[in-house]
Amino acid sequence: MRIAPEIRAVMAAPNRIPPRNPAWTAIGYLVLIVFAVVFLMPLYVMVVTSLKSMDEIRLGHIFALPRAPALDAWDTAWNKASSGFLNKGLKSGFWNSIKILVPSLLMSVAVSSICGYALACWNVKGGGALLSLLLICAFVPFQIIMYPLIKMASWVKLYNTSFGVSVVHTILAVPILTMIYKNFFASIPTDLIKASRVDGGRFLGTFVHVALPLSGNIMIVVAILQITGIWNDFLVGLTFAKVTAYPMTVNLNNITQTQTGVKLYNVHMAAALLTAIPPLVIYFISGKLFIRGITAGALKG
Amino acid sequence: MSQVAVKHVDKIYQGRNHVLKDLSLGIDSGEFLVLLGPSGCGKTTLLNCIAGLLDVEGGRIEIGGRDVTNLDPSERDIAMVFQSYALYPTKSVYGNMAFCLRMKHKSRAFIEQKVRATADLLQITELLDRKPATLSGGQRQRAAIGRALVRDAAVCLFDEPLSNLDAKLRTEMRVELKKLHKKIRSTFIYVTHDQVEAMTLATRIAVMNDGTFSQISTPDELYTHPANTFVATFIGSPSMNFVPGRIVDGGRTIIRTEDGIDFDVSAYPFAARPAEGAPVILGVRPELFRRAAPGSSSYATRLNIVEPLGANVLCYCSLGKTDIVASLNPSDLAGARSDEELRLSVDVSKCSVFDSATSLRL
Repeated sequence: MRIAPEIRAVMAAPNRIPPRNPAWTAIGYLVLIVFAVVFLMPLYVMVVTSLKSMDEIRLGHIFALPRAPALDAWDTAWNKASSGFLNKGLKSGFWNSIKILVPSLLMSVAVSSICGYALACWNVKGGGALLSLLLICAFVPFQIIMYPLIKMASWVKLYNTSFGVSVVHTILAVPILTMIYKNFFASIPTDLIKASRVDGGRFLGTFVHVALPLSGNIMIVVAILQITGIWNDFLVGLTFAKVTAYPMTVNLNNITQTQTGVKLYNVHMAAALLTAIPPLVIYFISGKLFIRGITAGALKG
Repeated sequence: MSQVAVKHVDKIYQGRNHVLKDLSLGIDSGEFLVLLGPSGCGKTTLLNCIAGLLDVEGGRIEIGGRDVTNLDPSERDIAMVFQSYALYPTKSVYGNMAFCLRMKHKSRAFIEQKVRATADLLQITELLDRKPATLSGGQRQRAAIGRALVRDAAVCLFDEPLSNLDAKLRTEMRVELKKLHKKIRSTFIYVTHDQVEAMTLATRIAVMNDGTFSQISTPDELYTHPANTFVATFIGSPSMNFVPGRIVDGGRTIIRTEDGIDFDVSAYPFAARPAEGAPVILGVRPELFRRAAPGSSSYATRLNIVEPLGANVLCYCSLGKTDIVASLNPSDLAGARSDEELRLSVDVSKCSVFDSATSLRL
């Protein structure tokens, strides 16, 4: 069979992808390393400072490794640091944060998931309008509604209580979380809801037996969002909690802002790290689940 | 008393879209009724209304003598099989089948016995512990049917259940469904757009068009005596041939086409004698044409295209200005050549005559 010369040339050429120019790879790595260094530098300084003694710190070599690393500063921060009223360290703040976090998490997930499920799977009259309203509310900053919320909290006697803080966190979270849940539950095939209606599941039955079992991924996403958001919160805790029951972030602020005497940098660094570590741990442990949760919705299950 | 009665049901979407128009239908116990029609005719809407998944704007629905129009789907004593199977993905096949009975708070022993009995009937006992995602299409279909049958409902509703299967599996499942119906003698209401499924499965077919019933009858009756041109074209493949003409009364009733070809329809059982000159349409099924024996009364047609199908041959011919399709025996075609004359005879008594204006059968 006669083969045209052009085709023969193509057939004869080796099938090879031209190798990448090594210069571009080097540049790519360089950029990544520079950015990594810039981001990790403060963290490095914090860790290193928290392990030094105050004499070492006064020498001013912030990047130098500690000569005799010691956890004294960490111990002080946890147990003994002065936060204005008490000299009990961050320990109490830690447990206060937990006491605020757990009810907030449970309540916000419960309320938002049911609302999102109702809006997605059932024909709610005015559902579209409600959703638009929620969208607008999600963008209102807390500071604007702070004073009215304080007033309302005191009317129902929730002001100055840990539970009050949880309620406020729930209120602030509901718009965004409802939208997240609504988008997730909208991906449940309508035939499944119909089948459940025929089988005898009403509103709650279908939620418990059909919607919830499918929502593992989104629950993890919401949990991580809420845990990091509520733990790191400062303003709501400061405003609504009792003075003796502040969350860890407020405690941290009080410790580092105490102006009397010497600024104990190593203690401050240790305190900051102690406050930041819990959500970091949660994130590292469940990071993979978080990514899987976000992308799972994109793939047809 | 019918098992299911649809009485003057109207369904209007958003005050404008009149999807179901004053529909009335009675279904007896043990019937296999098929709702057949093209896309958008309202058959799935009607099924959803009977199921209670949609509210009706007018009329009543009765199941087993009870007025169920305002009741929830779970209170209507129905079961439903969906086109997409709609099996609960997080439950096993056993869990899927048991769900309905659990919602009714039946005892575990009762549920166990019923589920196993139904699984045996459908031959899915080995699949009871598996999740739907691990099953093939046909197995999922059986599981969906099992979930519907386990509750012994008065009526079982099917929404195009075979559409998602490949062709071979579809024909197998069709036979299975027919055997199942024969065995358990429940009332089935089945929606499909496939007339082959309808003709093979149904005891009665309700042909729907644009929200109304065109004809409700047995498959045989629909085929041989269609009530209007819509049913005549929808049922039967290749579809019925239509030859337009006028009635000429001269001793014998004759339909004369534009080209002057006469069809003697004296033997046709008219419901009422048509008026002289009335414009009519003569409907002839392809298999009613025969190659004319030389000498007998026949019609001259020009043979255009031949499609050999093995058991028979489809001949596309021109009868004057009208194009027709004839289904002939391969042996009858010996000696016939394309673009030449082919003489055909017609058994007029088995034809249909429709009024041109109303499209109704005369």
